[in-house]
Amino acid sequence: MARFSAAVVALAALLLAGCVGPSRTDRDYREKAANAAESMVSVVETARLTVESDARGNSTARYTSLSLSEGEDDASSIAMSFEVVQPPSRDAEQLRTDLSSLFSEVSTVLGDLRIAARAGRGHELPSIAEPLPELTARLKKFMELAST
Amino acid sequence: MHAGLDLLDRHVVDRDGRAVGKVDDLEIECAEDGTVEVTALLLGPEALGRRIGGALGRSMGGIAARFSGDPEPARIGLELVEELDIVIKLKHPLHQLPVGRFERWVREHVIEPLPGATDATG
Amino acid sequence: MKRVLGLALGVFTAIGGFMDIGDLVTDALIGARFGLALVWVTVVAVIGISTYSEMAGRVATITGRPVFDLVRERTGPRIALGNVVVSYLVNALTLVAELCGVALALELLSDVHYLLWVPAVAVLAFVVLWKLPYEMMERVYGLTGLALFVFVFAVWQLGPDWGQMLSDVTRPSVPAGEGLPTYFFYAIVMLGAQMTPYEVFFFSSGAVEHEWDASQLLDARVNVFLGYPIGGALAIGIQAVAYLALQPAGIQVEHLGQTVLPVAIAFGKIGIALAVLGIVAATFGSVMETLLSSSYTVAQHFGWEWGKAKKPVEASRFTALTLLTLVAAVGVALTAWNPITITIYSVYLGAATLPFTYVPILIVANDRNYLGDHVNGRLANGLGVIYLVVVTAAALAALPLLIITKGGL
Repeated sequence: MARFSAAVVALAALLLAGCVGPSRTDRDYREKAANAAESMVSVVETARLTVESDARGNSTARYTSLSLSEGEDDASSIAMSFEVVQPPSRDAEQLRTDLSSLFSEVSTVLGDLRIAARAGRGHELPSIAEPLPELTARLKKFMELAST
Repeated sequence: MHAGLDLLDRHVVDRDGRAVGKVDDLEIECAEDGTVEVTALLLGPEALGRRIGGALGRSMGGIAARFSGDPEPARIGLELVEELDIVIKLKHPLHQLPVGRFERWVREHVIEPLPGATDATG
Repeated sequence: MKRVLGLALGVFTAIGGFMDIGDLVTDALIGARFGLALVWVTVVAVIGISTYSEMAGRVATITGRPVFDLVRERTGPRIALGNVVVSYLVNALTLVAELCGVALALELLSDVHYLLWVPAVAVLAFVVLWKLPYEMMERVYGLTGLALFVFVFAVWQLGPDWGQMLSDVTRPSVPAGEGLPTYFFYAIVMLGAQMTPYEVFFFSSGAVEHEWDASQLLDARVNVFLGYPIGGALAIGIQAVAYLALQPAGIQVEHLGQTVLPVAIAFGKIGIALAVLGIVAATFGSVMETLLSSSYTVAQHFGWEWGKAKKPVEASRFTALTLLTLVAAVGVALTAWNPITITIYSVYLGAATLPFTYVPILIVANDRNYLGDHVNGRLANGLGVIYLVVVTAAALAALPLLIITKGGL
């Protein structure tokens, strides 16, 4: 009976550790990076489609600016959740540096988009949003890391 | 006794069809020859609490008693029952029955002070 | 025309139930993530809820009493009390989510933060409760909710490959990168979102508020068999447009705005306007449904006088509880707990407690003392039992799958 309880406690601890804990292996860390990149793709693509709709006259000013604000907030929380995790090795540290700087670029673009939208400069959005497709492509390369 | 079990938890209405409550417990009398007879319906959290029993039941009864100042549940003698069907129908209208303390309290202290409380929305 | 308006209860219940904030978020989330691979769950949900609502409606019209009124006699006071407490809490949590849902939809239209809208929505709910006739409530919110058909029309507008779509629906497959446990976790989430407990309570009590009697059994049935398929069609519409517009881009749905994005792409500003109008109406309808259902179950359990259509003074405890629930819900909403998180919890808890809702209905609908010759026939019982097995399995699998998938990650 005691052994069973111990096993259950160990299993629970394992599962809980998996939720938020530090990454013990490189593979774990790469998977976290890939998940973060995947979430970031969602944010970038939402912004891209929103700007596209807006440029076509398919969106209201309010919808566009709310959507872009939410995107900016999402991007910073994804970046923060990833950056808080301690990289388990030198290789992982390098990965972190690379991905962080990519996230930074994304945040900058989203920030500029939000500012222009809220300031009523909707006509500037398409040009500010130009880097987005390339950012998506680079993020997708990081997503492939989980399978290596 | 079988009829008694059937009565428990049944909905009770007054002469006009207004809700009186549920049969939360029964008052029974044991005759000397061992037969058992239902003499009254008991309504209210005091009765229900006693029936559920345990800590929960006791606290229900306790809170209710503190509210109404009376630890005894509302009692409807069987002579007041008109009809036993899907619901139990009583002979008298609500205001002539010894029930409804809680409802009256809530009505006077909570609902009536609000504007429009006597308007039906339909 | 009167006949058509008589369907308002069914449409209102279904739209409030199938298009509440939980559905709006999960349908889009699932469409974006799993494509059309879970559409079959919607079909299953529509059949299930129709089966049980028909039973509840039948009980209400034949006996003149709502199902929950009779549950206590059949299951005993302890179990019934437990059931009431659980139902009340789940309904109340759902109410918090719906209040936030209306507020989030209004945020899409205005420059006002959603938290500021929450009290305004509660005030409107109070006014509707206190002043607006029951039938007008159904018609206004139920029929306006039909604006959500813009999602269905958007499917055509987005010019899909119909053959591919049909294949994806009828031969569902788990997308690459997703595991089977996650697939089933979301199947349960969607089932819970669409077969929400409060729908049946509300329909049953609504039938009594309407004072439908045995001669209106057919009306009750038409309400059920028309209303829920409409709800189901809308749910499939939202999944489909998310599949068409969001899945290819790899967008994960985390905001109400993303649910609306496909409609913006399809129809532009008019689309956004109609979608938001429909969302506001449907989620507000859900506010009223969950609010009333919370107090309906408590009042019916304890034998209080109840009814929105009654004067407040005639149903004081019921009315007081309704007001108290509304105020408490606003309080919880204003803690700024993430509304999407609240939504997912309420949906998940709804799924986990489905058996509690449906077992008593099946029992009562088979009782000759109440229904005489109108007890369940073989079809109703057959479907009833199958669905009981389904929802129980779902409820049992819910917690393990939550743990295994780490909350659907």
